Amino acid sequence: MKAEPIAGEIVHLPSGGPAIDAALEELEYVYAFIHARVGNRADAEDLTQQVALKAIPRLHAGAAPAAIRAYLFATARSVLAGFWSARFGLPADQLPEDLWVETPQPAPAGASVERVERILNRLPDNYRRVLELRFLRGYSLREVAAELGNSVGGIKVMQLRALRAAAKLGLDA
Amino acid sequence: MPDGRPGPQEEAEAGRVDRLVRDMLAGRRLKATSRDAAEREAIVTAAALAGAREGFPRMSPGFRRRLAGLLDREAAEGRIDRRSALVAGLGVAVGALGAVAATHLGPLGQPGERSAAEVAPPQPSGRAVVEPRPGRWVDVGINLQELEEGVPRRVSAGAVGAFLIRQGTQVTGLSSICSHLPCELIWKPAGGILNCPCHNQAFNRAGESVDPAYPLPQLPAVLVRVAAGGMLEVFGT
Repeated sequence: MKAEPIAGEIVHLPSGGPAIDAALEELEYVYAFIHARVGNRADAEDLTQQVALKAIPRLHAGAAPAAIRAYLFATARSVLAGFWSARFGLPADQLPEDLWVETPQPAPAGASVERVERILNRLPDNYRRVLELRFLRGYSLREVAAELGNSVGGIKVMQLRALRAAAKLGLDA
Repeated sequence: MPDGRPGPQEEAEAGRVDRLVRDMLAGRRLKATSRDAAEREAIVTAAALAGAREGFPRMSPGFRRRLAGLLDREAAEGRIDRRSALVAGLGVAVGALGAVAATHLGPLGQPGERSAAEVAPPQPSGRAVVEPRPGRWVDVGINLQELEEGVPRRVSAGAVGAFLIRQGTQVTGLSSICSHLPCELIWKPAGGILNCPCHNQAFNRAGESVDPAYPLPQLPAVLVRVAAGGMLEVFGT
């Protein structure tokens, strides 16, 4: 885990509206960053709140936005590592590194989508179709099966194999 | 990757992974467990794909409001400045520390009766007490009856955050801020501990550090009493 935030850097937040609005805008980036990794709103909200709680003592009116952002993202990475580690019951060093979005900074809108598309395009056709329909278009397994002329059970296995293959490409990318 | 016929094990794994995928796509929490660890790379990839659907998602208005409330409260309570001071080693968390005093136990009066001994005499345990000056008794909106035995309940009395713990007929108040770094503790029912998310340190219900290899000072006590009707009051700001 890389993200033990820098000790000793003291920052604080002045009370009141504009500072909180600024903090919330930074946390929007954090939320997008986390959502791109956990893939669901409920967990993304929990983890963003954890980041906010950890970061509050260090949010500082005078601090450079870049320093605040770096701190928030370091914290977000550490919170995410804890999340996966708790889910799989494994120490963080046995978890896949951040496969999909390599930048430690908030990506411009759509960057993770582009990366996903790049990786999907390198998959065999049937794998790419399953993942596109299921994830990007939100088809149910049954709908994917009908579209591809396969059984639900067959699509379920194909989905798993496609995810494994995509994971491998993500690791190699 | 071979496209051969799946064995029963692969079919079972495919089913488990699909259940997780369904949850993700519906915006539900990820319920992966250690049984899914073998497919962790596929699952992390699925999460990234599900996340990519929304491109650059914004927080929902409701969540944003909750977060704003949280930040606002922290700022209004001045906790932010004080915590910063603590990080710098410049100050103390709240009120007068260093007094020789006990965890305060609010004696349980009969409902409707204001207890005569609202503050128990201090006992020489060496524990610091949170005594903001000026301070006041704050009704924390919880009735004694609602306090589950041995389950810490997080309350706020102005700037003072506390866990209230009922053991039998006594209620103890502990500061909700870790005695190491100024982080808010979280109750973990599974381990029966108050856990600090900042450095993964923990305290038991008595406020004592549980890691013998890395002992931390006890959590300061927070004063608590039982007022009329069994309502709990905490000495805060």
